[in-house]
Amino acid sequence: MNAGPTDEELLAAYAAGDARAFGELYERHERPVFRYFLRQGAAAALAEDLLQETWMAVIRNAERFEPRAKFTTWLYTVARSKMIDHWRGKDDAVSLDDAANDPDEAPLEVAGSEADRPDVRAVSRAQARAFVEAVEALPAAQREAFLLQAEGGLSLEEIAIVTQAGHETVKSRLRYAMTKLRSAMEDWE
Amino acid sequence: MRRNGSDRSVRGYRAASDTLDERPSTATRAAILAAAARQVQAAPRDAREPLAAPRVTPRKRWPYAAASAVLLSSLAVMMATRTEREMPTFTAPTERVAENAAPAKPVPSPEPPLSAAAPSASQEVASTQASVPARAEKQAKADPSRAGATIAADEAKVAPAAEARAKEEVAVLRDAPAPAATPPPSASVDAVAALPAQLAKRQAAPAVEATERRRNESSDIASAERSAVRPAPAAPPAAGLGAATGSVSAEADASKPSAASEWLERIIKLRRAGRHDEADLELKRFRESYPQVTVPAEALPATGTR
Repeated sequence: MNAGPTDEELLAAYAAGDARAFGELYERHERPVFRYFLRQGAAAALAEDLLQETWMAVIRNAERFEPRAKFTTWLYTVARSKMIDHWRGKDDAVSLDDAANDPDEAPLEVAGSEADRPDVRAVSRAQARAFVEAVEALPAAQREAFLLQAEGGLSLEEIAIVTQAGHETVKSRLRYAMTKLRSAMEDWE
Repeated sequence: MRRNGSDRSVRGYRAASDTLDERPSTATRAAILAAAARQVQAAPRDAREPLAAPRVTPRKRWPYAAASAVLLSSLAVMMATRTEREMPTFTAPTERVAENAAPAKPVPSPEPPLSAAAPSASQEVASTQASVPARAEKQAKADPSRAGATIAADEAKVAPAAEARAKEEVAVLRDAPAPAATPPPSASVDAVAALPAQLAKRQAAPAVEATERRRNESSDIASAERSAVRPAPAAPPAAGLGAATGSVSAEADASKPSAASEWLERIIKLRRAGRHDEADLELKRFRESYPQVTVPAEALPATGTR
């Protein structure tokens, strides 16, 4: 996937004083994390604020990061907590852990690591906007699970860790999300 | 089948995101990178920039500074020691002039304006140089070290001339009493006339100090003559060189009867004429005026000592 040092190695190098390693690490994850905030309903300005807060937390806690854990799992855990902290201050806050948005259905096999084969066809801007709107229209829990998989490349187990939900619950959320998005993609084909 | 559908959804979403090309502003990016750089005490730098050259540690220059300080200090101490060794033979020219000029009477004359003093001095120096034989002047000019390294060019001209004149007067006093070529015009010239006595006295000194003393002597004589010339009255700028010299000589004749050699000649004449009482009186006065001048045997009484 990524040639060269892994995310964990770059973070360790930054913790040792290599600012350039942080730059490379940031370059890898800047846009996925930013889109993660945008799809969760944040405006661009808010998404930037949340992005900055997330990376500031990474900077401050880089020395305490344990190389055994996966960096993206930690990064999206921090991002999610920042977003939850933001929405908790709002009256119209929507819980991402709302069980009402997670109807229990048959489990779905998800393999995020195989998702980036080079057979992605280019889409028009209008189609892209329509697909993104379909994602944004998903229930919060399903949307979050989908975004963690699509943007962060997290596995089912990692999504479960980040969202602090059960393994089966995460699978169910993803399955519902995929079903809805497939119907949205039918218009392209 | 479901897995393929999931993959297709994720790929479709990623393609849509790439198409929309959503990214944070450069300001946010710069703020985050700067914060990261500050955290590790490094200068902010774009991650895509190539690595800069490693920071060069500042060159240690303090050993060179210390060595230079020691060297300069040693040099200063050496120079001070050398100067101290040479200093005992040095006598301030102004003091010597004061000693020599003490018995002479000041020439009463109106105080000239300050601006007129300079041309008068140069005229007197010129007249002094004119009275010196050309051979002595050439010899003096041939050895510029006599004039001293720190004396100005005009002083270097005056010093050899004065020394030549002093040598000439010493020769006159040794051989026989003879009238001076030019009578002493003033107290300042008397001071110069007394210098042959000093020269005669110093010729008896050890030969080791001769060279060094001559060097100081030349500068002393020049300084003495220069300082003695300065307070002399100056003729008005309109007056010529001859007028100024003549007026000064006339004033000197009126105040002082004769030079040492002329005085000694008169004493000898009194002896030969058998007027020993007058000769003794004159000799006594002569010795009071010129205690350092050697009196010839003809001027002394029969039982007298030199």
